[in-house]
Amino acid sequence: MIAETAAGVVARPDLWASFIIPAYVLTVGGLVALLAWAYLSMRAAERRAEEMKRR
Amino acid sequence: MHRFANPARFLRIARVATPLCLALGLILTGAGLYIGLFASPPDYQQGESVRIMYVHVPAAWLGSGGYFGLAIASATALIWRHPLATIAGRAIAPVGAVFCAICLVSGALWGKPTWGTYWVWDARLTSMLVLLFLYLGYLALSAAEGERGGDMGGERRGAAILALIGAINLPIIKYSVEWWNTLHQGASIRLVGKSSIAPELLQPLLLSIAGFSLLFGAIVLMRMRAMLAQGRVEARSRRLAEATA
Repeated sequence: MIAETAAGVVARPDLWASFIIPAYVLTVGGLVALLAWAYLSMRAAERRAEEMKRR
Repeated sequence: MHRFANPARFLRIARVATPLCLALGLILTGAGLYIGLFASPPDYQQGESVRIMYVHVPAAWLGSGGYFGLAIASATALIWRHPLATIAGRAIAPVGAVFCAICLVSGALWGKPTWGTYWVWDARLTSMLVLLFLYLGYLALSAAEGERGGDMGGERRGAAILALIGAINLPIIKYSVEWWNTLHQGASIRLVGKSSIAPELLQPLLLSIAGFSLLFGAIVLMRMRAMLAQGRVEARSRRLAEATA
């Protein structure tokens, strides 16, 4: 499915669904997963350290 | 450098730097990806598939930049034997490995519509795959050494040596497109001289690179803080056990 746009750029509508959106979902998903993992593990470890200090 | 290697001083700086990196990183990444996805024009040759560049290039930059950081941390750990350097290396490795994997997969998703194939054994692609294996090797070796020497106590010299030897791959990745006849295009952004990329495409790309780098920094700082806190818990548990014995 290939079409020429007014600007002369080759446009393929399937590009978005098959390649561009999956690339963004993968990257943003990976980034969010890393941020959540790092934040939650930091909070848990620092809370444990604080509790241990209070004992 | 030794001044910042003090864990207490590092923690004071990290507690301020983490939210700053996180907030600024989220804003810049959000702006870069929004402009890249919706507001920037398609490339005259690649068309819409150029939008994958706004996630692929920052991932590639952090995959290899992260390994450079890992090599520096490993060298510091081997030379000065400072535990904070080992912790920095261990914090960088999984994050760099994820970015390296994202780079490879997003590159494959760009390659299919552009080159007609997801993968070729091209020098740039192959050297990037080798980098992912080096990250995985470091993680496996570091985990094995940690089991023997305890989480904070283990120096993980084997993993540090592997990271240093693997650093030879970094110039190979960088110059692979010049040394060999590769399918992968050469560098479009130059620090010296004129970049071959249009300013409309360069602006969101630089925003994404800056945003991703700050988020990378925030993740590494959070991982380091978690490891330091875990180390404090283990040390206190050991002392309590010794006192009650």
